[in-house]
Amino acid sequence: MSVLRVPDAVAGMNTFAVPTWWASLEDERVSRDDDELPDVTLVEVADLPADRTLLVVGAVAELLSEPTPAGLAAWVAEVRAAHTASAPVHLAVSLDEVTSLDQLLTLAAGRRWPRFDVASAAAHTDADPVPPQSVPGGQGTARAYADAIVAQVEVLLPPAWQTAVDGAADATACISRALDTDPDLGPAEARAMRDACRTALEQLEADGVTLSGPRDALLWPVPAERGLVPIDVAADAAIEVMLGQVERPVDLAPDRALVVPVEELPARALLTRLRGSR
Amino acid sequence: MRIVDLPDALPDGSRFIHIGLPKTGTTALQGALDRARPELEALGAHNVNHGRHEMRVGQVAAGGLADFWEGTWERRWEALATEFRESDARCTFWSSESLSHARGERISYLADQLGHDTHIVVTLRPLAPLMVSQWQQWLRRRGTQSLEDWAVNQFAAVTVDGEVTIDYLRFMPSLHRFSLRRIVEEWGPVFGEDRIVLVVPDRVDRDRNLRVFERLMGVGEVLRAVPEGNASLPYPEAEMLRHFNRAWTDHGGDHPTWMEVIGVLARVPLRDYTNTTTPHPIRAPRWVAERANEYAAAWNAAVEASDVTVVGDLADLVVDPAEYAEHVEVPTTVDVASAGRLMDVAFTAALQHAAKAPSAAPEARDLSAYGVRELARELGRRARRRVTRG
Repeated sequence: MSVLRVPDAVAGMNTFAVPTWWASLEDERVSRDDDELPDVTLVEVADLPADRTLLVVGAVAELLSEPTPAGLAAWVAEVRAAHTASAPVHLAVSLDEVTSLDQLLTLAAGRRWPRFDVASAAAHTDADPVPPQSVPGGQGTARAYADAIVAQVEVLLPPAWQTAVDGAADATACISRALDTDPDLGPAEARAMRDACRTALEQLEADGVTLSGPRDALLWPVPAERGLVPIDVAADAAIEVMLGQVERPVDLAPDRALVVPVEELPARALLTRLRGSR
Repeated sequence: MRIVDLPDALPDGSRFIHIGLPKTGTTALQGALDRARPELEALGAHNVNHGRHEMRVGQVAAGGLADFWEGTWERRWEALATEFRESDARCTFWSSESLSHARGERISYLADQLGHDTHIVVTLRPLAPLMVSQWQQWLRRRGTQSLEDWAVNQFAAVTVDGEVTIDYLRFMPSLHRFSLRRIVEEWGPVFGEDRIVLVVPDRVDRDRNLRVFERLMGVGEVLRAVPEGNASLPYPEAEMLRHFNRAWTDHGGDHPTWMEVIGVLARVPLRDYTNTTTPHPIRAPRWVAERANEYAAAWNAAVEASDVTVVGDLADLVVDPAEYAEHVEVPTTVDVASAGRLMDVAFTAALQHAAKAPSAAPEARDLSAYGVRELARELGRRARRRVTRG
């Protein structure tokens, strides 16, 4: 049995981790030891290989006090302050607010949230197009991406399609967060900031901090210029789109029965079912 | 060296293999050969390829199939070799640029399997543009270097004299694979230099290769150009793919997964995507053209000293460096819509890959949706079908 250390909300990280939230869980695995570890909640986890300190983070813009190298350095210092040999930091990127212990433990295991049924998503075909997604902010550049990604067909949304929609939303979100449609920084400054973020993450990993989730969200977004986007930024987004799918299957326990057309079922399965119905 | 404008028809009962080179119009040629299959068969020319091109079969034959591919290609190769060797058609042929991977004893093995009297046909292209195409092809194998860095390494890997300076296991360096001197030296002693036909492309007539193959097969003009099907990526999109590959590599991503997702599942969508992009041809800088010419000149000298047949003018394999810019600007930005489409390609392919992963498929099938009557009806239908077949 290992212990997950979850520091209280600090510097834009673990924003969910406030006393009222922990109290609402009413789970016996959750405890505090303010004498030994002040400002930290402990969660006993059966399948965690060793003690860890969990920091759940959102997009980089929410983490930095100011979009400058100094702001970045201050955030990195906060992460390092929590990083110890006995409980190394696991930086879990999640763009969704943590609302349940199940979600928290999923993130702590290096998995993604929400769960995503790739088999159902892959089953959608051109004949069953995914409806258009709304893009946060709705700005023109991100919209161009969205238009390029999803078919512009208005359809009713059967529940079975939800996972496909989630996937397309993922793809859309990747570029949406890579492109700053309301930039605080000019193009050159934003590029420099993005490079600094990349370097900072590499250094944290070199120090033993583990990273999971959509790490591209921790790279500072850059503005598109005249409909063009820096190639490495586009590549970051595309790779995250790919990883978002490739990394999910191992995270998923089947949470939904699969209804297969009867003509595709093996005869043995039909016979078994018939016997069971008697 | 024997020089001809167009070759004579091969004698009745002849067999030939077309071993590439890659990126010399092989896709278009194979497409034309496949489309004209009925006409060719009627005229006594038998194509042993199933479909346009069985790349993996060619790789098995050449001893160049990567370990992570699984399949039944070994069995298919054996069947193809038997069909090729035992064919009684007036002319039998097999086109696979993968065969140019073969070297040393593997070439002798090919002769044992296909027949030592097989003719060898090689389509060519000037080295400078060929290298650019090869770089793009390499990007589709997870390449991460810029065109110029890649070219530096290619030239360093093989000297103009043909010495290979790097260690390799399965795939020889590009400039060794493309070397006409190597082809003559390695394939000539096994099959006979007089059975090797080198086809230099016509600078103007893009259908020239079709006419050459018709002449070899001894048929009239039955081959028609088909859409290329593997158009080259514009430079910004090629650079985007390169950065994508680098990001994957930096992330610690593995090669088999990349190949399955981008190399296989995204292959056709990537081709379709390429066909919708705004053309932005990639040109090598002048120094690459000049260095490539040094190799081409040395190879031409080896060909001139051999007994092979050359269709066309070897001088056309050397380019005019003045037509190449001294410095070529590498794009750093890409159109947002184009980038979005690449993301869509990656998303869809990765989704298909993920859905095939064992853990993604729910193990329990839900049969509760079907009533007893429906299940019994389905079983009855299958039983009747089996009886009917019997």
